[in-house]
Amino acid sequence: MERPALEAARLNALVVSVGRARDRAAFKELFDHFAPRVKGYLMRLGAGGAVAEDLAQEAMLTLWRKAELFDPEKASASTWIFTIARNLRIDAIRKERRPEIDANDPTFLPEAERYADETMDWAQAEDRLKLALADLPREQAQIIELSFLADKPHSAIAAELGLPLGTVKSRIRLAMARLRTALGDGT
Amino acid sequence: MTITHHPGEELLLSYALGASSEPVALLIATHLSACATCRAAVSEMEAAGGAMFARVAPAAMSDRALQSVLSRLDVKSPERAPGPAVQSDVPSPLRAYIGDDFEKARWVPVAPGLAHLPLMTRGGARARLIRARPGAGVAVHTHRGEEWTMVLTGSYHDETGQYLPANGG
Repeated sequence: MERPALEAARLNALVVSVGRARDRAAFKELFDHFAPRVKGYLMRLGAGGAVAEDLAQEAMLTLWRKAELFDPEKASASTWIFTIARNLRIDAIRKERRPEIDANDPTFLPEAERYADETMDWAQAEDRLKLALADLPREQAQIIELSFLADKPHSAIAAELGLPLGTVKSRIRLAMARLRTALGDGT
Repeated sequence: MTITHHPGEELLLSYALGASSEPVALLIATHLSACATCRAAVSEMEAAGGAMFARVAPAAMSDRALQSVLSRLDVKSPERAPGPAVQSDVPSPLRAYIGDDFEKARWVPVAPGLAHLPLMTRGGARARLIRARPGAGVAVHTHRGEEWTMVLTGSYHDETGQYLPANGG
């Protein structure tokens, strides 16, 4: 039987508890919630069941090892696990490296960050984002979802949909403007 | 330093959601290491990815999955501790490809005052570094497909304008 989805704030607290106290009970709850979602995400992107199962387990091990680095002021738990699953997929399925910035790098230029001077509640923001995503005009939602699930550059998505790339770009711009508004509300 | 040219939102979104090919992802990550505005935009896009991820239909794990993972929790991970911070002009995403010293990288001369360093080819996309002496020109050339350039140090100009560090055009 499927359990009801846990709330974003609860998930954040569980990850923090794993990071601070190696809390196995919290980890089990996180496993029950996230492992099937990571597996579902990978399968939607074309992975076979066995590969998706292995990588979902790997993602949960990564969560255990890196939980101390989780910062609820930078991202919600779902976003954080999403980035772990995204990077595992690029590494294990696409066999590519994932170039990322190193925030501890001395050459890194920390100019005024948009959210640096205010505390962003990313768990609440996630709930607003879900509503905003559900509210997007269909043609905008389609592009955003294809970006999420198609593993293709936008030029390929445009060709597949028979749309000019400029149209795809402007839909992304409009959708992101709405999502940014949703993120901004409540801070 | 004011950055006046930024990757388009579709490039940032592909990077945030994991759909860009490695050469393009390297370009974006290198830009992000110098651009707080685009870092904030990518954080927002990752949050959107997280919200979409939260809505994905779950796929049941096998019965033994939890036990298997629990039994591996205390196995030391092979991951190394992060080394000491390096002083380097090379933006961090590039270091995995060329090391931390531009001078020691394997430049290939292509013309007087001009060298390049191919980084990778993946599918239809290629990434490379180009190094030009001041005043050196790049011969008129054509491309099929799209091209993006990011200035790491110095500047260059072409028929569309002047480019300074971290500007992608």
